[in-house]
Amino acid sequence: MIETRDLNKIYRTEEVETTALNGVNITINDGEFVAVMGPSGCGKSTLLNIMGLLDSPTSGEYYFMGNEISGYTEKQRAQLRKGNIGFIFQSFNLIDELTVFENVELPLLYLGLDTAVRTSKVEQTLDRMGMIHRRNHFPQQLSGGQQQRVAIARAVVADAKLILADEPTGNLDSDHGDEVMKLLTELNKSGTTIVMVTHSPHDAKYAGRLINLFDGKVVTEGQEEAFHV
Amino acid sequence: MLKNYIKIAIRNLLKKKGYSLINITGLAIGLATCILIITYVLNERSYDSFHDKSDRIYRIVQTTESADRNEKQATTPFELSPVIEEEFPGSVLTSVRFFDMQLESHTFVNREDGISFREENFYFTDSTFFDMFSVDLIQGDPKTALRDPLSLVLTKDLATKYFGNENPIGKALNYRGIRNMTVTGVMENWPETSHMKIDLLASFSSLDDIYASSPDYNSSWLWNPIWTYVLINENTNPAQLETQVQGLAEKYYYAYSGWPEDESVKLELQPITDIHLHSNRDQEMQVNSSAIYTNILLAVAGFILIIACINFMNLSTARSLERRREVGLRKVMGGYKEQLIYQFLGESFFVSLIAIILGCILVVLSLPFFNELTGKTLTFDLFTNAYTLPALLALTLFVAFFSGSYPAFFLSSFNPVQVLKGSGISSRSGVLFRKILVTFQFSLSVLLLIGTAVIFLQLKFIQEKDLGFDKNNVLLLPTKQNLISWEYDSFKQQSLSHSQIQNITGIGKIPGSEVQEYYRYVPAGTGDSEDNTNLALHVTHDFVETFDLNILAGRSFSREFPSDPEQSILINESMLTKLDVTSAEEAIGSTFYFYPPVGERERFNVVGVIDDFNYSSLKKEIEPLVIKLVEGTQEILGYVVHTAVEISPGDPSAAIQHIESIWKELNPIDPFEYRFLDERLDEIYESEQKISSLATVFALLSIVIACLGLLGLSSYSAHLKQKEIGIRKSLGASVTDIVRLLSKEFLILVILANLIAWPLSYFGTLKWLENFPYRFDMATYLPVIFIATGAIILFIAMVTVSYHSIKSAMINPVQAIRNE
Ligand SMILES: Nc1ncnc2c1ncn2[C@@H]1O[C@H](COP(=O)(O)OP(=O)(O)OP(=O)(O)O)[C@@H](O)[C@H]1O
Ligand SMILES: [Mg+2]
Repeated sequence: MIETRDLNKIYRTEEVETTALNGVNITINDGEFVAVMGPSGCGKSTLLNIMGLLDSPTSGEYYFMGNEISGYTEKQRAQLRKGNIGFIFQSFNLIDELTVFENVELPLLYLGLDTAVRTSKVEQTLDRMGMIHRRNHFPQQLSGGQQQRVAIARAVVADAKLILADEPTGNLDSDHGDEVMKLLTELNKSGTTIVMVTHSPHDAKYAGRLINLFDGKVVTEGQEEAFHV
Repeated sequence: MLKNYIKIAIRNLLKKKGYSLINITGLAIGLATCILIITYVLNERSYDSFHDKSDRIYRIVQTTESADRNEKQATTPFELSPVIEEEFPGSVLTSVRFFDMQLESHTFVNREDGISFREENFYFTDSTFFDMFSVDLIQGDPKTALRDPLSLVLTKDLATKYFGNENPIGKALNYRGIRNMTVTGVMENWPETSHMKIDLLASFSSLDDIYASSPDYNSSWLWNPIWTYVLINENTNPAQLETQVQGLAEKYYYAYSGWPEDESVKLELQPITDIHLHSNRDQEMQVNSSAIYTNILLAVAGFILIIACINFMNLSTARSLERRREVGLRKVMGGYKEQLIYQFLGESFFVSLIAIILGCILVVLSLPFFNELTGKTLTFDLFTNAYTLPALLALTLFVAFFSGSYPAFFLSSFNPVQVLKGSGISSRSGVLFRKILVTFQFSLSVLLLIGTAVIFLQLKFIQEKDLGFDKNNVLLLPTKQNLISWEYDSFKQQSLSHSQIQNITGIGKIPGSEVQEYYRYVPAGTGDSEDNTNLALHVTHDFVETFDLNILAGRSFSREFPSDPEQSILINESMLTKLDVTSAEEAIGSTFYFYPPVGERERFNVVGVIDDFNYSSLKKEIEPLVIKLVEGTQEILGYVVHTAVEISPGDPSAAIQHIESIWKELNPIDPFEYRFLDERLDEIYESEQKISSLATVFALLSIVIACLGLLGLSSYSAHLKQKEIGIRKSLGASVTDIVRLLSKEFLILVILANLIAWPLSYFGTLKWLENFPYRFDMATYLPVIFIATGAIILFIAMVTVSYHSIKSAMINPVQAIRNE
């Protein structure tokens, strides 16, 4: 699914030059559940954004589903992203002006699907996330855990092959966090590849593999058990 | 997808009701103003285009030039029309003349019913009238209605006025007590959108009958009382025809015996549709308007629309900060940049659409008021004119694109990674752009306000300027070729018996009015050049007294000197420059010669010198003037146009009644009519007056709209700074500190806007003021205007900004911090 070769990302501002990623080589296979950990500022989010085609690397090669994308235009990346990648954020990022249903429907709109298809898909997904009874609520009317479940529904509604989650439990208490992790595990079991950034060793346990970043470099990589002494 | 866009657009509008209200109200007011002005300007530009052949109808006008003068006149000699038809049969299909006997009004009497009125819009015209002009004849035959002598065609309204519900055809109306005319046709009311006003038309052939005693009446090329119109052939080039017509000057004008040697004539063709806005000659049928004013109004409309659009832009970009998350997410979901641009442009279109609908409603509501202001009867509806709806749609699209494109590109260019991280785009982004726009907006408002103030002051100056004579409490009675001329002395004597009536005099033209009359009165010793002429004013006794003129030297005309009418003249101070004298006293006794068109020159002595007064309107400078006394019925009939009555201050109604009763006794034919001199003189500045009131309204509106924008922006800025305010307050800042902090940035912009507007308005208004030889004291008043408008706008802006500043400064800091 994903392969990076010598991936570098350098942020240049007027004063400083920050190397956020420094020669990252990662391979993630279809159906994997990978957790990315590391201290704050080590480049986790940067890596996730590049994987999700939201950002492009400064140098290095990135293969997504067999396509080398470092030379892609913004529009080409958007094209590839649609329907293939779903995002889950720490701060949920739902659109306040849209209802639960409409938020989840959004990716399908950009895919240009029919109303009937959209409705059935959205309802199915909301049902799976246990949010169908809230379909006409606005995000502000929901608890954090509920909002994150809507966000997950939105990430998977278009049958994304890859889900990228940046600290999905960061804003949730442990009960709600566990709920979210269970949902992700289920998704993974049904075949979705998941890459998740987390600060919580507890959450990382749900993943099948752990990548540790430090200062933009992959320091250790391996099966989850190996790091859980 | 569209549904999704519309949904989010509506919810955004509803969620921020305050902003939406400001956005839409401002835009609606701006659009309404624009629509009103465009309707007005289109109406002004449509003058005379209702004639089917309007593109082929031209008026021929003449300009006579000599060494010291250049007279642009709208009228031509009698013979020009037949000569043109004869000389250019291929190019000129037909021509039509209009003649009003050079009278301001004409008495018509329905003897049967004893109804009489004075009519101002009456002309003698050729039988070809209906071939050229497009007005429907309701009754009568257009081919013959104006053929026979003493035929009369009147409008529907006039027919009702004189004959009620009876059929007017074949009925008689008596014209000025001299002829009975027979009604041969009734036509539709003459449209308002014409440079002519027509209520009654008599056949041109009537003149042969009326002037039967002087059959040469129409042969002079020196006398030019006729408005001449030609209808040209479809493939005739008007410019070419004009050069051909110019050739007539040599052949007819200069060849005419008595044509002054150094005087040349220029003949021009004016498209009939250009007359209303582009012609300002002597002897126009009506006072025309001017393209300057329609252009000023269009500029104002543009300004106001821009100001309103800027509000929209500013508020949308400011609000965009709140929508950046939506943008980021849409991009994450795979939305393309173009899709987002379309979405925001679409929203902008949606808002514009609401605004234009509201705007149209505002137009309908304000139209009566606007009509009152402009003296028009404009109408507004969407369907009578096929262009209205497409034009409105185009306007909506323009506004949507103009005000929506920047926010659209600005919003759609957000980088999703940074947006979703909640950083990258600070509340500072687009700030400079917003500041520039606000400054620009207020510069325009200041410009409009200063322009308005200058127009206002100039008009006030003109109205209050000392004309050198007393224009107050003077009654004007039209008395040209009036029956009262036979009883002039007894009319005067009897009228003066009323204690309120102080003086009465006959005048050849109204002092201070536009008309200028030149006669060949020349000082002796300047050679008896016949081409020398001067302004002259014919008056009867007591002129100097009625108008309270100041005598510098010598005396006024007096009955004690019976030879005054034949030998004496008065001159004004300016005339001294044409005499070889050093003082007014020295000029007394100087000799002038008058050269009549035929016969020997006549000799006159100067018996008095009077202070300069404004013989013409304030649009012209004071020139040397000769005042000549007229006496006796023949002279009064020939020269006196108005009778001026000076009434003592106070309620004039008793005095007016007194004069009226005497008038009716002495003059059974002409109805009694009067008006006040000051009101008559105010009319000269009618178009300026109209522009002044329009400009005032629009300048105020522009400020309202700009302030609406400021209100929105300041509220937004206060909202963004809630956390900062909370922190500052918790650190001990007072409410005043906070208000100052929040208001400062905007007030600096408003001050800057004033500084930018000052030089622009200085040069702009200077250009307009060049039209007036007499101007208010700019050196003193302009700085005052600048400072005053600046202060007013700053004050309004301050009040606007403080509203939100104070509101947020009062908020409990804990709440403010938590609200972030
Ligand atoms: N837009 C940017 N401009 C400049 N530097 C940036 C930018 N985005 C990230 N960085 C820098 O890149 C480095 C990596 O940032 P990144 O957001 O990937 O860290 P992270 O591992 O996700 O941290 P956290 O756990 O706090 O979320 C940091 O040093 C950060 O300061
Ligand atoms: Mg991060």
